[in-house]
Amino acid sequence: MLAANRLAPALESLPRVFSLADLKQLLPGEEDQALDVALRWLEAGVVKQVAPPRPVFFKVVLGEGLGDEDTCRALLRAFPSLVMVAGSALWRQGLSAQRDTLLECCVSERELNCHLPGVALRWRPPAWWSAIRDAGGIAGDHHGVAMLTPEMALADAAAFRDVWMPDRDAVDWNRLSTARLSEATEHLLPLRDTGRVSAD
Amino acid sequence: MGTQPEAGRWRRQELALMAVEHRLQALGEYLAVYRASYASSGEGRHYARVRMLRKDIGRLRAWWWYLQATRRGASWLPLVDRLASALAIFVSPVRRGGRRRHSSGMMRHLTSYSLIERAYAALEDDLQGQLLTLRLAQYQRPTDSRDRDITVLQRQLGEVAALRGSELPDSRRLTVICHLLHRVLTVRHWLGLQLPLANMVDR
Repeated sequence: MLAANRLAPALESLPRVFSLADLKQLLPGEEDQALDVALRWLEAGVVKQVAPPRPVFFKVVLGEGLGDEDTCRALLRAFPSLVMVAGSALWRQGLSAQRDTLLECCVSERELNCHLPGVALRWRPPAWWSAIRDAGGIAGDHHGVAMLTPEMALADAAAFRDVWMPDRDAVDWNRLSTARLSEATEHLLPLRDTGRVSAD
Repeated sequence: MGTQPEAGRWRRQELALMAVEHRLQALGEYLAVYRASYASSGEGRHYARVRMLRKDIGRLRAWWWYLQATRRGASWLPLVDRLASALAIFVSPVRRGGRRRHSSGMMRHLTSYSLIERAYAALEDDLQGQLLTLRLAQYQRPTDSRDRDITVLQRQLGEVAALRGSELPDSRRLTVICHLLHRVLTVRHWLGLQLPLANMVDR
């Protein structure tokens, strides 16, 4: 208890999203204590693991949810292959009049357990990233998280059918290229079966 | 009598391989996203990251190959070790954990020693993350099987700490080994020979 009290200010000095490595840096030479401190915080419910068992945490502040920036930072630290997809990518690029209720992202990890509120993770096969690259399917990033181009987001949603998309009327079709949509669909076509099998 | 240290050494080799494989997996995933970003935007910062990651992955693969060869007792290993010892004197000493700034000023280049050491540190963090998840579950709902899992993880953590503490070669020798084997891998690739690659997500 004494140790916990002595180390209590450490939580204040950490950012909203942090890793075990960050905590260890605050306690040089006391790496074992870092683990004990993290466990006490977890038990007390003042921090949560972003995606157990990954050693990335976020501070739980009553009545103050994580902002978009912190959510993206937490996801990036836990999932290196993260790419934003579907209605989430469309909304953030101004192509949808409907906002997503869940931030949807794809990862290559099979373990999709994530404690971040308002986030949904979907699995994609490894070849998906090659297809995205070959089709030039990334349209910049949102707080560091790579986003699919609108055409690729539509093609991906049609191919895998496991993500939320806005209503047809809510999408600004004038800003979409039919040629790029057709190209994106062609690139993802061979992956359709892979995605469906895994979703089952 | 000699079996216990032997078993410990075997387990540490397993963990070292696991650490490098996990790091390769993570770097491969970063590379996939950066390559896709670069293909779409053509931005220089993405290209610099792709180049840096490729270099890191190349050196990590080389180290993975060396670890594999050590475990198998490969016939060419003594030659590599002799070469590494001979060439190490030509490598300028670097600070442990030291980093050099990339010429672009944006990216940082990790020494081979830091790269490998970070792979081991990342595995340690991952195991500690698993331990925290298990301990928290055990605190909320204790079970005997989880207790056993916690004991196994704690032993593994001790072994990873030993790996980081004492089982990495001298930084200059390690640099030579990584660069030498990386070049051998590149030549094998050019010649179309099968590459002894760790399982990773690089696409």
